[in-house]
Amino acid sequence: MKAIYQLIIPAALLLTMGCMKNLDRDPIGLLTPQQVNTDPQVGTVTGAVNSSYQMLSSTLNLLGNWDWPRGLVLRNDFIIQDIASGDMQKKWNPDGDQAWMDQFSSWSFTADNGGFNGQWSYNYEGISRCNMAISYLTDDALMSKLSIDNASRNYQLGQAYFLRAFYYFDLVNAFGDVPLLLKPLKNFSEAYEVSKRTSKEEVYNQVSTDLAAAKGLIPAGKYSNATDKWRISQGAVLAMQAKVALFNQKWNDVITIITELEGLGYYSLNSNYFDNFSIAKEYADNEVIFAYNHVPEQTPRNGNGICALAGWGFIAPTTNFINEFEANDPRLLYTVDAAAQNVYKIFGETGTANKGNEDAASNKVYIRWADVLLWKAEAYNETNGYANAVTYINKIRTRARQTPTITGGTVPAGSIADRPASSNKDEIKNWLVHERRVELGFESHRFNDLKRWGIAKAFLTGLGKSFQDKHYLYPIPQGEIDKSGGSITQNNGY
Amino acid sequence: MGGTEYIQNRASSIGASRARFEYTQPTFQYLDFGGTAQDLWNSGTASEWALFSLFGSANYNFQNKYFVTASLRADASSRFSPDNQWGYFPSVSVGWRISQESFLKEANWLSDLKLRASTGTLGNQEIDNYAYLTLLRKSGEQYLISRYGNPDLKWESTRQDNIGLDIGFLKNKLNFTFDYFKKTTSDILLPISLPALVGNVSATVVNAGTVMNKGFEASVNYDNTANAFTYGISANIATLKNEVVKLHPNLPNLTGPVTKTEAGHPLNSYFGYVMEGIYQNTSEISSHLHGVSSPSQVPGDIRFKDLNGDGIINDDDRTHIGNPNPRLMYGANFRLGYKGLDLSFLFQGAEGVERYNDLKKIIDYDSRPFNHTVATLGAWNGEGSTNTMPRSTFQDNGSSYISSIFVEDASYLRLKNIELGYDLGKVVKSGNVFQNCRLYVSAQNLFTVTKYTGLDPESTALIDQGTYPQSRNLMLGINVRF
Repeated sequence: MKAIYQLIIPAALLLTMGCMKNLDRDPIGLLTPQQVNTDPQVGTVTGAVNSSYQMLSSTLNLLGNWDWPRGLVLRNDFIIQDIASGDMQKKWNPDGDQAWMDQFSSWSFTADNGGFNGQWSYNYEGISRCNMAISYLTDDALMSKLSIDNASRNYQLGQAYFLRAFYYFDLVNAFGDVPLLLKPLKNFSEAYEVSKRTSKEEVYNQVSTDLAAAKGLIPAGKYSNATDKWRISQGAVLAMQAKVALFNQKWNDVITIITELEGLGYYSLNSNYFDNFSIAKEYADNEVIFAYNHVPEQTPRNGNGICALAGWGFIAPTTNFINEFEANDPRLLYTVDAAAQNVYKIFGETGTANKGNEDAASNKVYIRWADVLLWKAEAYNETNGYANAVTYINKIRTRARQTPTITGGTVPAGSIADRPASSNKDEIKNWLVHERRVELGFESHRFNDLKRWGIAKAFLTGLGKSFQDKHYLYPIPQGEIDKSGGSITQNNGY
Repeated sequence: MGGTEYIQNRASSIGASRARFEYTQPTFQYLDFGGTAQDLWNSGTASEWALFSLFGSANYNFQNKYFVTASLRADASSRFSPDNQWGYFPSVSVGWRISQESFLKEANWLSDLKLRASTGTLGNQEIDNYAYLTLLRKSGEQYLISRYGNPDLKWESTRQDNIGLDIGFLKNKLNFTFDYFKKTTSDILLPISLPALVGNVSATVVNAGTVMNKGFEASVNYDNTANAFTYGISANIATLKNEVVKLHPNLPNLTGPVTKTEAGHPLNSYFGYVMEGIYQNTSEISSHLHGVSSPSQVPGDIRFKDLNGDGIINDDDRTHIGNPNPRLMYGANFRLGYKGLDLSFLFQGAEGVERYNDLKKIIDYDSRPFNHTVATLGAWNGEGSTNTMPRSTFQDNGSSYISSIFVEDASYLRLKNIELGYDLGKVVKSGNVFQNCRLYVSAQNLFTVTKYTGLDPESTALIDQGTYPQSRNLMLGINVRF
């Protein structure tokens, strides 16, 4: 009997030890940072940079799957800029579909509205990817292990810094003080440590720091890369610096930077206004400085999905927007053709093949030369350089009137005439406000313009909307406040 | 008694599919035949987990009067990080059969009397494998963070304390059972969504808090089969109080689409605006919303209670508006028999439960252009017409807000089952042909008493978007046994 126990007990112990070891096996069927970090590939780093661009696309369902209520189906610029500013309405035939979008039109939203969650989520996902890329690229040991040379490293780092600045710029304009995350998190509990708002000034400082860093890292040339023309270029960095200066009313900086950009000679106004948007003219035009490059038929998808919404009757103009256009302005029909219910600027062609296309080739233009020239006009006007301001506005008007109409005709003589010389600041400002609205219509600049000019309340209440002072900042998405346990605070008035 | 157990599970899968066959004939239906690469998909997964347990238990019974049972189990699960794999779960129960005591042994009317008490803890590791790890996913050439890990993750444990009494009278013809229980679940394993500012990641499993359930349960059973007329009744009633005791320090509350879970309130308590009527005219709107310069609301819209009185309806005016956990549940089964005739019926019900009737919103209140029910005829259509149902419109009439207008009392009493049977064997001589022949008519869910306007008050969905209701069945049958 005793002998049996002498066998059983050690056997049981051995079995136990063996089983215990199986509790600590390496995970299978999934990917952990340790696994990737122990065997890093060049593609891990370049992929991190490339993926940092993706949150600027209009590809459908990058976050979630048809998650309309949380505003995640696609980037919401058209809602929080164009619908909110009274240029756009949700649909050609108003209905109850996606009522949360209408709340931007009526200014009756609460912080629960999916639009805020969407914009916030797209930007912060972009930032998270940038931070990952930057953490790889600033890791000397990793760089030497992968033999990534300095030129390539700098170029990639420059792109990541630019994109991070771009996302933060969008956030700070929409929401004011926002959480500032500059490196990837290590685990979930860190998420709560970073869930606090950083002052607007500090966020702007970071944007400027990142752009200054990008300026020193991105190679010169109209395109920074002969094959990947879509990548951030020297011109994009300068233009973004000018935009940041503009939004902070540093008028002299705006003029200096744009003068520098003009001196490079990369850009000029396209002779045809529509070349900015035409798929056929992508990376062969003179004017587009920074756009997201949609490419159809990719896995994962990289096409433009906003055309699908247009196919469902979304993306329609308000009467007030259409009325803003002067007689015979060819830009109107290139922007919206109310009779045919088409938005060619978004389709990327003057046909309708892309209307309803979930995977279109049309790029999303973020910065183009006409926008930049009007910044300069504005800066001149604010610094009493009236003659220059009028000259720059007239450059835009000249191009508009010389653009062939959508049917291929010429604009009747006398239309969109040059603005006369003036030294009336308010008059020139009104011209500028008009010109930006018609030149850049549906390009998601308008609400930011109304805001920084301080005329959002007067203009929107004039249209019968219940815009209040608090609306100069959008509410922080309610879900973020809830999920952070209240460590993220709400903007005043919401 | 002692034992050990070891479970190891390894699963892997491989899959492939394609769309758009070039030829539809079966002979050409091969995965790699024709078409572009876009039409091909393949997939694979793998995972494993292991659970190692040691357990022991001991029983003691003294003179069939005093009972003690104690047990202990120790479990180690691979689902937790190596530092937190072990969980220890003891339990002990005691019983005293008072009816066996000498002072009661002579009491014939009392057949059984037993006092019971127990306390014990159980563990739960039902989470995804590797839930403690940070994960990446690959999309094209890009590695993206798909989830942040929680290395501190540990076993969830539930401690249940129970005290109970079993009484049997008249040779156990009449039985009563009473129990009072308190169940405390600590370190509840819940997936928690992080703020979106950390990027697009899926929820991290967290030991999110402590929830307490306590309640009183009683049941009675009586059967009288001594005479030709037999009858019996079984009934039970249970109360339940559910309360979140505390939550993870980072998570003062957990919010769902229509719920908010926070300490001091039941789990998944409905949270939203309080509907207090319908705006009848513009002056009512401007006085109620005095904090808003030009309110977008119009007469016929839902009027929400301004809880903080600032003249603005915003997120601060939301509160707890309902509890989806029934506070009282009961059931009773009656059995009657006389000669060949038998009748039985079962009532079941719940009291003190609310449900979010999203179907009502979608069909009758929503601004989307869907077909409405006739309830729309009761919509507001002018000052004084109604104070309960908003105007019917394609604009937002307030129905897009999570509010008490959709939270309904889902208490109910339902006749779950009724059956009347007659044994033909009593009139037709059974003899050689058949042993038994019974004719019956029965009905399920014959009637329900409820104020709930959704399809079925028994729905357990937090957001009831029209749970497919239980049908009412009427059945006529004959049961023959040869």
